[in-house]
Amino acid sequence: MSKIKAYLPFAKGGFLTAIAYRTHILGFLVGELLFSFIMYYLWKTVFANTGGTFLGFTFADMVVFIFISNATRFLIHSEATYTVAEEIMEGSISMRLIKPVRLDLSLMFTDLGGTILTFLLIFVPMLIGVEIYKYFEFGVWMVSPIRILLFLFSAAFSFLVNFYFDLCFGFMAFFLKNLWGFSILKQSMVNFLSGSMIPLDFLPKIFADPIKLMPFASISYTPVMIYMGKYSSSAMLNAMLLQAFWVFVLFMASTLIFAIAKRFLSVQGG
Amino acid sequence: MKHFLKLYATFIAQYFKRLLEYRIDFLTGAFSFLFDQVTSLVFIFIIFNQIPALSGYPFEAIVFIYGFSLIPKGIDHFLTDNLWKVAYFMVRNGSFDRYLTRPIHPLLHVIMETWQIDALGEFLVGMTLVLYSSSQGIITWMVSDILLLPLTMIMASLIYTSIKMMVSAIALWTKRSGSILQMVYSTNEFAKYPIAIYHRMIQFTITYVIPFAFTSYFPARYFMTRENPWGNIGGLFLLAVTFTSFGVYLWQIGLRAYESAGS
Amino acid sequence: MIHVEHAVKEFKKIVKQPGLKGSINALFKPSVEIVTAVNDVSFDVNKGEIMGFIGPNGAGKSTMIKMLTGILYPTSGNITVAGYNPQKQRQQYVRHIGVVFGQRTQLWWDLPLSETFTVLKEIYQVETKRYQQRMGYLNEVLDIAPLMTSPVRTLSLGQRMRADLAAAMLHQPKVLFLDEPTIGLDVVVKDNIRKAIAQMNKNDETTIILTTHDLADIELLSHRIVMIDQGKRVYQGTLSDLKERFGKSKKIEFVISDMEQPIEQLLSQRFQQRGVQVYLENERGTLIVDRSIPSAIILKELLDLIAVKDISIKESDVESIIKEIYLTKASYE
Repeated sequence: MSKIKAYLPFAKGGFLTAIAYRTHILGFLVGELLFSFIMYYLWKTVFANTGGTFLGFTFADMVVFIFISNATRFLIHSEATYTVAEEIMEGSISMRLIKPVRLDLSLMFTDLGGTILTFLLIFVPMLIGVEIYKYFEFGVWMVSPIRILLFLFSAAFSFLVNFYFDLCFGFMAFFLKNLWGFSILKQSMVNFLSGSMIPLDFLPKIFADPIKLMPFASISYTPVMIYMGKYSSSAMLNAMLLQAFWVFVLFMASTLIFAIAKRFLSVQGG
Repeated sequence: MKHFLKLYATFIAQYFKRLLEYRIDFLTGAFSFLFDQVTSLVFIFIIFNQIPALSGYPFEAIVFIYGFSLIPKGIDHFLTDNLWKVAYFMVRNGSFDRYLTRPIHPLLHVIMETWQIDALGEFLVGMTLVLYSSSQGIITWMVSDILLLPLTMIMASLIYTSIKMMVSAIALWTKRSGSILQMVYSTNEFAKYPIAIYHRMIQFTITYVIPFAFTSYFPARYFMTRENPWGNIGGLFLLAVTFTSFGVYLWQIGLRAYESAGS
Repeated sequence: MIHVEHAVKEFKKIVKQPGLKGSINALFKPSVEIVTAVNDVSFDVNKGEIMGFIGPNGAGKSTMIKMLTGILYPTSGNITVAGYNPQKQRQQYVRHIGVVFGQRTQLWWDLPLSETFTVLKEIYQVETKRYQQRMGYLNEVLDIAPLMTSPVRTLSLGQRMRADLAAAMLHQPKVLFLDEPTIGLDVVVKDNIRKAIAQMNKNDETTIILTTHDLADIELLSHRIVMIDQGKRVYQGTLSDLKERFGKSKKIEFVISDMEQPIEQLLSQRFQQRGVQVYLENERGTLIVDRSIPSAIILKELLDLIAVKDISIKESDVESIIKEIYLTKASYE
């Protein structure tokens, strides 16, 4: 327990930084919302053309999908790639290495500090908004606390998968200079393959099935489908186990890459 | 003028030398933007696998508008990417001072200093889509298009550039305007699809406030239907010229207010 | 060459309270404060002169340099350099000046040094023949030829400063501005840089404005100094003048061993009316005494009054004079 205590200052720092960079977060928020609205209008037009359902989704399903995916993206957002990349370029990463804390945990707690703010200011209002939408759409309150809890539980795994995936990417800065292009590639890969852009079920089965097994689906698709109640209990259990599996694999991968990178660093003398 | 061209050539030569130094990074950059576009295309493709037309536009027309939007975006991204750096950190960390000690206008200096090869991803996808879709019988090309099409693309690029100029100029007062630029710039995403699908408010915004609809939807519609050239093309030219002048003006007064970093 | 009249520069500064509460407050209602970085400063510099700007951190030196180089607009006042108004005629003006910011480089980071000169040649439109001539000369003074093929990021700090000086001098400016040119350099390198600066001043008759924290820079290079503190000019004149006028005093520094006594009261009662100045900072104290008063007398009185651990007497050198001026925050003109 006292160990966790060592990381609390990082969480506080992350929270304060998030407040200080509020316009940055606002920019991110507007960008993401904008994207959601484009999706909303596109699908609205599409559903108007198909007469109610599209590959098993109703329009209401689609709206819930778009906005909950979006809200999830905020919850799992990590700055690890940028932080690590910037510190590597500046050389200030060594300052982090001489502190008696774990690199990954200190970064993670910094992220969590920011997540608290986005959870309160963005996620909760969006969730309430979606529930209200569902009320108007179906005429009854359909709030299911258990499902929301399961969603949050799965989203916690998503956070970890995304975090360690980001960390692996950030360490690439040891080898590359243009991390900017690389992070765009990562982002569009995550957006597409995680099923936060379109439900993975819309893809031809031959693509959808392998993609669902990849770590990306664990980042967003799983919690969103849980919230939407698209999983049976056994499917849910399987999906969460898969998430846990990817947390473990990516954790190991980031540790390995860092070990290699450290050796690379000493060769470079930087 | 001759001096400027020579100076520009020198800057770009430098850029290519840097590019060769970090080959892999630049390739990743261009590939990233390409990949980003391709995923969006897959998305459109999935939709049209299920429905024949969107708001009355067939698949080819949607692809044409989408591709059309990427060309000016790519041109601007290619030529004036440094404006992002002004908005995000050049003013804040004081590196902007350097431009003020040089005998060239800072705005020109900032823009001329570099290219952004990543933009090729957008530009090439845009060109491919426009060429493909326009060969599917949705457009009858006219001789005058040889002149009009490139000119339209230049004017549409100017809309992007002028918006970047205006918002980056804000940083000269506030030290940082990257987030605002990000917000304003990201509305260009709306321009990738026919604006008829959006709510009236959104249509109004991207036509009259942040006029990205003029970078794709309006001119693309003109080339497809030949309707309303004054509104579709004339509007674009008028806005491009007005916005660019205003962007330059904002820089001009921003430079006066510029407060440098620290003391 | 340079004429500055009543220059004033004000900045708006957003004041943030520390801590969580402060951050949240700033979210809704940031409070703005006006800071006067340069407050009514006037001075003149002649052609071929080296003028040193000194003052503590945050005194307004860099702001002054930035106004002189056309980067910042003064809030009020007149500045003329080489016959130009640096702000209104900025583009023509900057052709005639060179600028080196010690903490920042103008060299192209990722490329071999030679590339920087290729670009600067075009920016300042230096003709090829003239360019070769200048490069030969700059190599003579700054020994940059061996650095030409190395990427700038691999240069040491001293090498980079040499290269930065050469870059600023390529177009043979009439005025050279150096903002802390020796910051972070070791003694030997500092010495080389100073020699090069002096040589360029002599050969090209370049007027040089220099800010520094290292007083050796001033002693070895500058003909005249302007001292500013809290935005105000507190001294202008030659260095020897400064020594003559303020070198009349000596300094007695001591460490107090017993803090229980009412030290400040005791000391000022005894010394103040005799023209001895007393400064206290925790257990460290300083007396500034006229040279004509024998040290023995002061020491005896001091030791009688309070318990002292350690004591030392210093004759005034430039550094102590300046420290004294900073400490008293008074105008000595």
